Amino acid sequence: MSNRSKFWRLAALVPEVQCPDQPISPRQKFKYTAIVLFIFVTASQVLLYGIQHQPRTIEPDPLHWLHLILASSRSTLLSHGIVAILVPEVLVKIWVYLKIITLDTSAPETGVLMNRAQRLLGILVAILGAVNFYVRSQHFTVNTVLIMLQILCSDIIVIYLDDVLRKGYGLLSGISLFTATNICVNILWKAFSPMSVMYPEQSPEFEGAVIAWVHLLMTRTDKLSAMSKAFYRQNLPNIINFLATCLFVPLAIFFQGFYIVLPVRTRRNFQAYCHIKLSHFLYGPVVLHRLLLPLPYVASKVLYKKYSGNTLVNLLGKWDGLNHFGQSIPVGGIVYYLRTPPILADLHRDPFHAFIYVAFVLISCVFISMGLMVCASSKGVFNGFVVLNMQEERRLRLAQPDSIHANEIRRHVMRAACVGGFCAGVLIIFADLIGVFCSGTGIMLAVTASYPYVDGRASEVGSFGF
Amino acid sequence: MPANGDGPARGSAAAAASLRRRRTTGGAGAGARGGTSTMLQFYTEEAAGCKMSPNAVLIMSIGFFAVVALLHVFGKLYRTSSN
Repeated sequence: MSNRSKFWRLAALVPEVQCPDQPISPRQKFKYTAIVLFIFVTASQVLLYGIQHQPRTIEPDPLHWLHLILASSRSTLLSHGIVAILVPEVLVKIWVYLKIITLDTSAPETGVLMNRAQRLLGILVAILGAVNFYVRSQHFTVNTVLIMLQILCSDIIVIYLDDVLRKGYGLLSGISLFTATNICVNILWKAFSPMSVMYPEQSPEFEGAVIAWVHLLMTRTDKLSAMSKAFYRQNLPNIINFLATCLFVPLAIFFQGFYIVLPVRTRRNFQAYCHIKLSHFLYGPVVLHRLLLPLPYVASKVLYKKYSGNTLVNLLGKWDGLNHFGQSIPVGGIVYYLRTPPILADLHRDPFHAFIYVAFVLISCVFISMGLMVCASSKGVFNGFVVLNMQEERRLRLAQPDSIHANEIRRHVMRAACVGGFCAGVLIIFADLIGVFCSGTGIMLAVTASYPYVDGRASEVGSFGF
Repeated sequence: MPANGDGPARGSAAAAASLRRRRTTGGAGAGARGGTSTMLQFYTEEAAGCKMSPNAVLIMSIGFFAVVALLHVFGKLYRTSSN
């Protein structure tokens, strides 16, 4: 109790953004959101002062999947992206589920203190991030201090920008807004980037798929080879990827609209309809699947480098660094079968690999979705999944034989969680196989993060969609 | 740290509206309900720390990033003059 009191007193010292005194007009909200976005996007382009910048090359980036989710850019002020607001959010939810923190929902100060605790945790994460840079740099100079200060201040600024949006001044929560914006910027860049990439013994090519297409058509006399190169080049984004992205985005949006209707028997034998929206179950599997999948990769690669002769290590994964521009990729073992087949043609060349991959993604997404449901229900979010159709409420009718009791709603919600996880897995597999920009996971993130605003539930949805 | 002025006076309609919105925007502790208004005022008053207006946050952010940009500019000038 004493430690807890000290923690809350420490949390009370952290300043926070004041709540609005009067309702904010949509125009005002849009203005605030636009300013926050401008600050965020600008910061993601400003390089850290004092760091040694290498020229931009096509070097391998093993954490590219993490940059996508955390909306971070290497060597810029947003090196850590939204980690300072995402980690406290996830940690608090896990602690509540594991009963490390017991929420007294009857006390009026619970919400206030919980917000301050999350902000304090965010600041601690920011401090750890700055210290992490010092640990990695292995030496201590004026530049190191400057870089640590820049990282610390940037992370704290991200925390408060998110606080502004959360308090009702913005359209979406900070996590959803920053992640979706980062992914959209990446997609537009891959399609319309005017940057040129120089290759030895070849003419320079535009990075953007559409720009390259127009350029090739205008400069080459052989139109057929120009079209073929624009559509099928493998080294840079191509038109097939662009068309696949255009196809995938409406598909992901379409999945957001699914819901299941449940006839629920209320007391006194009346019946009302409840909607279980599948979109609630899409965000969690999408994020966590992408976060958890690299763990066996990293473990296998590290083990293989040290004990490449061991039978168990070889069973986990064999890696080959030759003929792949210096990147190691798995060529055997369990990790190989968990890897996405590179192109559609590989489905025929190695059907066993394709089957294992599809089964793994679908099963893991279903389990992640059900796990999130268990966590969500423990803190009272369960009721948020079932949306009572307000129009039907006024026209309650007599209970039909197929209606279910209110106590059985949970079992049906768990079944819906399975369906939602399965749909998420199908979308991820489909997107990765047809080669969309930024991977299917990224687009799913952007659509899932933005959809609540279109749906009119912006103020009700948290960072993970519920 | 720039601080906002005093909040609305106790007992006024603006104060009641402010308290009501604070309760509805609880955030992580979504289930917080109940309690009398007097009790709510007491706890909110105790838990209240330093408050910042959203404009202060935006100005602070733009200021920091402008400082870093200026560091880059002066860094280049210094390097140029030293060569």
